[in-house]
Amino acid sequence: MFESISQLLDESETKSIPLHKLILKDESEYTHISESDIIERLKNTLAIMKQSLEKALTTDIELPIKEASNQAKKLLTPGIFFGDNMKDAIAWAMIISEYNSGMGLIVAAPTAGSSGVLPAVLFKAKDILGKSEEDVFNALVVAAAIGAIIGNRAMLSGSEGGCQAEVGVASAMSAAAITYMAGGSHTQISNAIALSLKNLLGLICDPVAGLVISPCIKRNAIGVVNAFLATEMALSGLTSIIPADEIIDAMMKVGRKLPYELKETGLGGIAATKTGKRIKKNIFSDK
Amino acid sequence: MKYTSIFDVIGHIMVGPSSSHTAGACQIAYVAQLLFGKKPKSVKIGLHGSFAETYRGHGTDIAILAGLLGFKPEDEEIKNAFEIAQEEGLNYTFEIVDLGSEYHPNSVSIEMSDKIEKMTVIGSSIGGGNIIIKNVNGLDAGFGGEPNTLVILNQDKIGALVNIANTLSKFNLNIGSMKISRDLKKKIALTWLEADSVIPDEVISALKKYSEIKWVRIINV
Ligand code: SF4
Repeated sequence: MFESISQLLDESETKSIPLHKLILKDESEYTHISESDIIERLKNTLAIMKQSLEKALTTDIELPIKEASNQAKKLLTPGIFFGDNMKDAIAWAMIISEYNSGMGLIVAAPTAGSSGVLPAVLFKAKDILGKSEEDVFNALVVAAAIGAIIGNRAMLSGSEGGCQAEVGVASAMSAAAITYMAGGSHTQISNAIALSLKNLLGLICDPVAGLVISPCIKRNAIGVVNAFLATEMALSGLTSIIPADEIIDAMMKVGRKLPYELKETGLGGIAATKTGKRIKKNIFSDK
Repeated sequence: MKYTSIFDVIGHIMVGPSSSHTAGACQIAYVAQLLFGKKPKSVKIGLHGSFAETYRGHGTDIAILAGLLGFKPEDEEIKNAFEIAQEEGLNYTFEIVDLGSEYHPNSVSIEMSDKIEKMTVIGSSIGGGNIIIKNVNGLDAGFGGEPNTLVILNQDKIGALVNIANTLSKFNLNIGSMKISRDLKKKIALTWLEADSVIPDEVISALKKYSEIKWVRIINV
């Protein structure tokens, strides 16, 4: 396993092995599972991601917060300020996220609350760049390794580190993945991670009534936009003054410092607003 | 390291809405009933920390019940756990507990019983659907979602470990790691180990031949 983003990228550079191949090799050595078995399992993961999007697109989802039901599909309309591609991508992320909230089958990436970001970004980037299934697969491998590094250096859950550790990480994983898919250099990948994570640093976890609905579903959309934004910046040659690994460490410290109320307890942030409390009362009054 | 595989990050195929509060909760309960070794008749579920605050919202209660009924986090039947529990005659209660600050905010204590036996398992959902079983019947534990885990409760006496190690080597099983937690007063020990390959069921009967071994479970999740 890799301890830092720089270690991963440096090793790929010095050994001149493509990133996804290095990651698969390392995974196999570390877990004693053959590379072909790993690949098969990852292909299944990708297939489930696709399936959840397809199923979610055709399912009417009733959520415990009625007002939040079936919002995402409204975005499947021509873009106003956004181009159609970007509008589609945010719609897909939210549609998967709604499906998750309605107890649909999804792939946690890295968590269920943030599960819409990575598939939406991957599938839309594939369309935009005209890439193959294999390219998407390779990008998924990169995303997973970046997630593992962030998880080990910091955390991957709202209850431990706030939403920066869920949607923030999903966004960084996605940015790394599509920078790789677009043929970006290692420096650009590292910058894409740094820039995306930095933008969502400090994001709190404050689900209304404790339900993974609000703000979660729409936060998946910002995760997507942020991933494309960071990638666009990195591929244009912009750099982050603070290196990716140091930002991850900062994220860990911020996450630890966030108070209990802002870490998936449903006691702070928008959950603690007048409306948030009313919704909670309405939902649970009959139980 | 908390995450030892890329599948810890994108490998959890699961029914929503929350990897920690739904999938992880279900997984803890699923492992708990594997440790109990049979279907419990009655369960007492104690929710701690964030589990206590938000369990109804995330379906934590449904998920724990589903796990205790033998459903895994990816089973779309989870939704119907309350109805299935009723059909199968499983008695359950939920309560809010404070396990203390040494426990992760997403922790649950599950007391399972039937007419003959009782077992309490405490587990924590540490993020992204990953779990750790922290305590079994008062003995500290520390195993989680690693595949090919063997858990043994034995009398704490000389030779117990040698017998375990010898038996595993007879089955050509390579032990990746092994840990023991002991209760010096009761003279019992919980031993858990991870093997490098699939543990065949025959290992159980081979180990049970030793009088000091009380029970053996294979946790393959
Ligand atoms: S607000 Fe909390 S529960 Fe919702 S997606 Fe973010 S971290 Fe997850």
